[in-house]
Amino acid sequence: MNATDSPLDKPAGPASSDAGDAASAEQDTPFTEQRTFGIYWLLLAVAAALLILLPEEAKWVTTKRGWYTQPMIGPAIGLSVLMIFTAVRLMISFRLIWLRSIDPIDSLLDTLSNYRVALFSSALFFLYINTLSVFGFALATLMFVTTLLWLSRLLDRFWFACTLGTVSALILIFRVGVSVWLPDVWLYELLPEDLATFANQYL
Amino acid sequence: MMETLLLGLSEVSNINVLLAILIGALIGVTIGSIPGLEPAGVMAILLPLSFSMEPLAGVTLLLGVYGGAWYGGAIPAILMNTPGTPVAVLTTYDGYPMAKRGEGKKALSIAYTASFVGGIISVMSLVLLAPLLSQIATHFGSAEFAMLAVLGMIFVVLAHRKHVLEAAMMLGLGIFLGTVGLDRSYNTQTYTFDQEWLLGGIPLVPAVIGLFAMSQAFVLLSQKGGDSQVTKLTGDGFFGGALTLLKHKITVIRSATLGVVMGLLPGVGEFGSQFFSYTLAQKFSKNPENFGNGEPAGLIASETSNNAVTASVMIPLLAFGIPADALMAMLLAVFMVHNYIPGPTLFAERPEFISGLYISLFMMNVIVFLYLSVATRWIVNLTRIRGRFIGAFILVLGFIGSYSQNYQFSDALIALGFAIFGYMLRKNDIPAVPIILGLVLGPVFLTRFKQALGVSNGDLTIFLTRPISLTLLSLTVGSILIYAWSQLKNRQTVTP
Repeated sequence: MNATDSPLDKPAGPASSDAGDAASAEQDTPFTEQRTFGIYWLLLAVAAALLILLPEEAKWVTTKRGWYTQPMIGPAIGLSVLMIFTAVRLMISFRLIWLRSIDPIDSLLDTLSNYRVALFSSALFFLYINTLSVFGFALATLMFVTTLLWLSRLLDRFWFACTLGTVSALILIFRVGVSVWLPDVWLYELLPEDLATFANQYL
Repeated sequence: MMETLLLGLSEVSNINVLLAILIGALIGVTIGSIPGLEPAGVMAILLPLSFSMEPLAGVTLLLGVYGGAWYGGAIPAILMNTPGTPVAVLTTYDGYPMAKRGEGKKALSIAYTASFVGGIISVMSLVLLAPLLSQIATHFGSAEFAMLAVLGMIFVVLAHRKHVLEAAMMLGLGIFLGTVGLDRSYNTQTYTFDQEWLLGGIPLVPAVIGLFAMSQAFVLLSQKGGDSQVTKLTGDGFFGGALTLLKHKITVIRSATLGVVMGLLPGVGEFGSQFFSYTLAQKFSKNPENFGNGEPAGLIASETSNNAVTASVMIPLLAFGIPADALMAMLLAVFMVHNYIPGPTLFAERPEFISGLYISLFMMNVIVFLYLSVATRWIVNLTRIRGRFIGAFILVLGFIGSYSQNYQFSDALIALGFAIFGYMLRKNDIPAVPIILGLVLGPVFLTRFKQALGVSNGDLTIFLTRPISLTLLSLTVGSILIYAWSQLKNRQTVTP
């Protein structure tokens, strides 16, 4: 390597940092051309809609205490900053968007494909929360983690045993040790009273 | 002084505090050793737990995780060429080539010793500078605090060098989110859409857990690949690092100083300090061509500087109540829950807490250093845990963390909402940290801004007529101008 070449010019590696800004800039990545900047359009639309709702959602108060005490000042500052910088960002990206035609259906399918793991996991997480009062923390957590591992093709005897061990540790730490309270569970109602009380308290 | 020290020692000798230091440090090292797992996420998960602990124990638990992770991050960086934490990126440049040529133990020893020296210098800077700056803070009124909050927010935005526009967007979003809820001055609702669960505002803990921990879980769940390729741990013992550091003492001092200074600047943090330290170490080196090929000075610069930030980053928080990054915003939440208001009054009213904090940080560095020096051969095995397995359990921990603060499932769903948004941000290289800073510093700014204008009957010149306020405002404007000038210069250099 040349003395003037800094290793800092190398790609930043697999980890990226928010604060550290290790991720590559737009102009550094060959994938830029593929981007539709959908998130910026979404943020712009949300900011605009919220700004339109400002008089409704942060009402003007009749007062002699001065304009600066109005409840709408804070949201107006925040939303204006969001909207202005999103608009500037989109204007800068406009050349890239303009240069190529966008097929909205293709674009939507690409986005869904990119986010499929997050979408599946979120749906399962939602289901997990709703099944907690049906199956209880222990069983619902075991089912949730096992399903996630199965979907990500990591479910074999070894990882299932690891899951069992980790779920047991979580129960010991949080349900027994820290006493995290959870509502009574439907399934435990089927058990004898003493056992049901124990299960509701610890499982 | 001696009395305060003794008070601090009695605070730390509490078994709960000792356990918090130990557990925090061990969790921190573990997190750092597992690539893909970030301390911010785990701190967010532990945040509700720390609320129920004694103030010093709660704070030291989180600080242990924070400090320990930077030490542990060197292990996968050196043995796998994969940074355990984002700030260990530069550690891979020289650490991994050393491991490849059979000097793995030496590289780890250098990394641990450099981190230890950086960490201790950082604690010393906290001990010396925090009380000094808190004395300055006694001269601060509302106008000064408002301007300090603005300066903090601007620094956070400018620190995201290549993503300044995105950071500004997210800061605006954070400021907006900080205003949602009941306006206490007039008892009116702001952007609640008549939803009762929004009356108390956007809860910080679920937001942080969603943005940092659960979104990271989605990233881990989408990871592919089998077992990690770990370079064999070979070479001399673990205690030779100190000698190498002595040979490069100038690099150590320079990197530690840079780390301390960078820690004082909101948003700049570990990566900024590491970058500058590494660049300077290379510039001043007799063998700059060796950098990137296993040069110990590069490893020393990188590891000393990132650990020198860990305590100095607390100085703005302790002295002014202004968090420099999202992790410090979480610590501020712990302070607030226990009604410990950072600033000069905390130094005057709770000297035993402050002194205890210093001693805990010192102990944390010693514990982590000793633990790593002895247990690395076993810790290395953590690098083999599959990301998908960790991801699944982070979601469970995210649920426990967000739910257990108020025992409301709605908080877990708020965390899920922020997780999806956080994942979208990660996919689009948009920083999430400014959202949290906006959420925390936005209300500070708005409250102080209103108070200052209340004093001056709405006269905006109050921010110009008070010397400290004017200085802070000048720093803000100056920082923006310097950034704009550097951008313009860069563009002119690129364009022929």
